[in-house]
Amino acid sequence: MDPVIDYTVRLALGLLFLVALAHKLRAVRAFRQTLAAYYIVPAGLGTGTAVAVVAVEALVLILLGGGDRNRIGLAAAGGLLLAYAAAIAVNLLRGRDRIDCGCVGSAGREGLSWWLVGRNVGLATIAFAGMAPVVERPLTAVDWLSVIAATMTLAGLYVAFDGLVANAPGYRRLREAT
Amino acid sequence: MTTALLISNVILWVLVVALAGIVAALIRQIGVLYERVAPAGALMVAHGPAVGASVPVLAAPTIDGATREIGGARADGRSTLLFFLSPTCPVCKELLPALRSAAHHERDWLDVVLASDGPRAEHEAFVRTEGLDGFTYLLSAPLGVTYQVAKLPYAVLIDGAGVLRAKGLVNTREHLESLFEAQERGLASIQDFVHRGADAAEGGRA
Repeated sequence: MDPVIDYTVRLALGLLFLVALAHKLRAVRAFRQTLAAYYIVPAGLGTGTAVAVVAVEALVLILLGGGDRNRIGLAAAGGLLLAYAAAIAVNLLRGRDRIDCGCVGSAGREGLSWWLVGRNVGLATIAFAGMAPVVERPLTAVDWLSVIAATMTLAGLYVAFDGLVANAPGYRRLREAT
Repeated sequence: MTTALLISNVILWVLVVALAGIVAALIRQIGVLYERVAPAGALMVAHGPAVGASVPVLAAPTIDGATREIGGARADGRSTLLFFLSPTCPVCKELLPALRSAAHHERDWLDVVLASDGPRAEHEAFVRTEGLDGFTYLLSAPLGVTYQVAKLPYAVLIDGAGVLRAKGLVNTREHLESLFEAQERGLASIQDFVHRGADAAEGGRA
């Protein structure tokens, strides 16, 4: 795999986890309530789990940024994304689809959906695919342009997909109404 | 050659990033639209004969001295749209083109009848300036009292059997059309429609 792809994947995932971490730290209490509403861990462990999730996200962020050939960061990021997907899926199967997703962005604020599971699985797939061995080559300025611009594009597409998921209930309401 | 490719690459990236941003922004705007756009319809005021009830038969004088019966079953089965208006109501004037086109498009099943009251001379001038000769124009205070018309322009749709099908304050073409829609769907009003829609959505979620 080309180093440009490696850098792009790690930078994009790093950006995602950075935003997620900031989102959680900005409203710690709200995050604890969100976590409690998932009913994944016993109520007594709520605070401990919240701290653990924040710590793991911070660790993932550091690992993604760390050593050039560090694959642990990508594995941890993929694993964490899959864990979130599983938590959402469990609650969807329980029929508890009216809880706040706690996700980055505006999707999932009105409730959970399988789109969110699909998105997380997709992101995890990208993280795991990024673990492929990197073929070394010297990077030029154009490569950095590619890395930064691709990351920005991925961020924009993430926001766009997020918006589509968030709009879905409104769209359904309007379509059924006419 | 390399320079050309490099420049084209830079330009392409800039455009791709910009497009991704625009797509995201557009989706956000669409989301706002979904939230704000509720179906427009004629607001029903809870006065006068109820939707689904037979309306009282009333003989009302027209502007040219004849008498027109409103209400009761009609032999030809045609529906009647009673449009309450006044020469002094600006919104009524704005709605006249919409009313004309509605009268034309729905002519197979619908008679549009204008209704008002007050000094005859004013209304005769109004008919002349607005070119309303094609419509039956009633001048009857009891008519407005029967249907409890408090605000103008107000419209009442009566079907061929003399049953009130829809009524409401109409401020736009959409409101006017919503009355025909209501007749077709068997819904009484926009409130009824939104209410049923909400019930359906609740049911779907449960």
